[in-house]
Amino acid sequence: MIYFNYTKRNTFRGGEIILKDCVKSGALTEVSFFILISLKTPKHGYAIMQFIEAKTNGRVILGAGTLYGALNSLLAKGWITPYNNPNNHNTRRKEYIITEKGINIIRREFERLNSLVEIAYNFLFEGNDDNEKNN
Amino acid sequence: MKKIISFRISLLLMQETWLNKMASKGYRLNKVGTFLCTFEKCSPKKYQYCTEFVAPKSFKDIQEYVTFLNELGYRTLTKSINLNYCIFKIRWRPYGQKFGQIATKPGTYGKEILIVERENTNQPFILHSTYHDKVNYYKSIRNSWLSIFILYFFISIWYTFTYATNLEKNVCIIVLLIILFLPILFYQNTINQYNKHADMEE
Repeated sequence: MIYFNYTKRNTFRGGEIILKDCVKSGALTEVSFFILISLKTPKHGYAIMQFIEAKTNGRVILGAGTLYGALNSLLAKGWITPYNNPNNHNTRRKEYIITEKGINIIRREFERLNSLVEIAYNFLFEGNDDNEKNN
Repeated sequence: MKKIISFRISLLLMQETWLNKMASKGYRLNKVGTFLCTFEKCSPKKYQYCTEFVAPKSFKDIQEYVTFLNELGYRTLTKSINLNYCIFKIRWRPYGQKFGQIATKPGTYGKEILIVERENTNQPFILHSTYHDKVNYYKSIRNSWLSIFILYFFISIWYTFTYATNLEKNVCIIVLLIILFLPILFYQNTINQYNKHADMEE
């Protein structure tokens, strides 16, 4: 995954933790991105941590405090929602699932990343600016 | 099961390193009081510990956080940062978040430090892994020291103008102000370092 340096992000205060996601341009932090991806199927906290660690080959390891704050923030934004699993016999574990709004956020992030990939591809492999072509 | 009772008063970070040191020798924390900690013998390096300052949070927030940590399979214990004994108490915490500003006993007073235990995974046990999260956490600790410092600062100004004549008393006041300012410097330095990292990388 290409790494980007996000600057000038708006902040959203969800609970006590601020998650800097720029909703205007759709730039997500890696924490938000991976949590939303992991919640395509209902998961509880520990399963989310394991999913992210496996998906990134250990590059991104979420601390419990960060995960707690991030889940509250995403709940407040309406991107995820609590899930009542009828098959869940262990009723102590809360599970979450992504909402329609969260899926749209991921869709926008996908389009944004795609456009950036295109620009980077042109930079690396095409190399000609429009000005040079006209000359 | 062998039990050790240790008499210890120490700051937040030192408590964490000490608990991990005891765990690597094979002692698991059983009970913790204001002064005394009881350990039980277990196999060496079986458990890891992390401490967190939860005083700014409200009672409900702490309960939800502890429930969340227990669901992850962590064991939690609470410890007091106060050296007094009381049955009922109500205190204003200016650095608290919303309802966390009022601390009561029974309630959040006497349960300011959360000790979290998990089975050893050979990786450092960190509760706050992103730089922004760390910055917010250390800001809450710095704010607690800052509120004490500001209150004491205004009291000392009033005191020097009311009873100002004795030089020895003024020196004592200034020395205490400097001592109270040192933790603020320390935590602000950590916050600045993490902010620098947070601006450059995620």
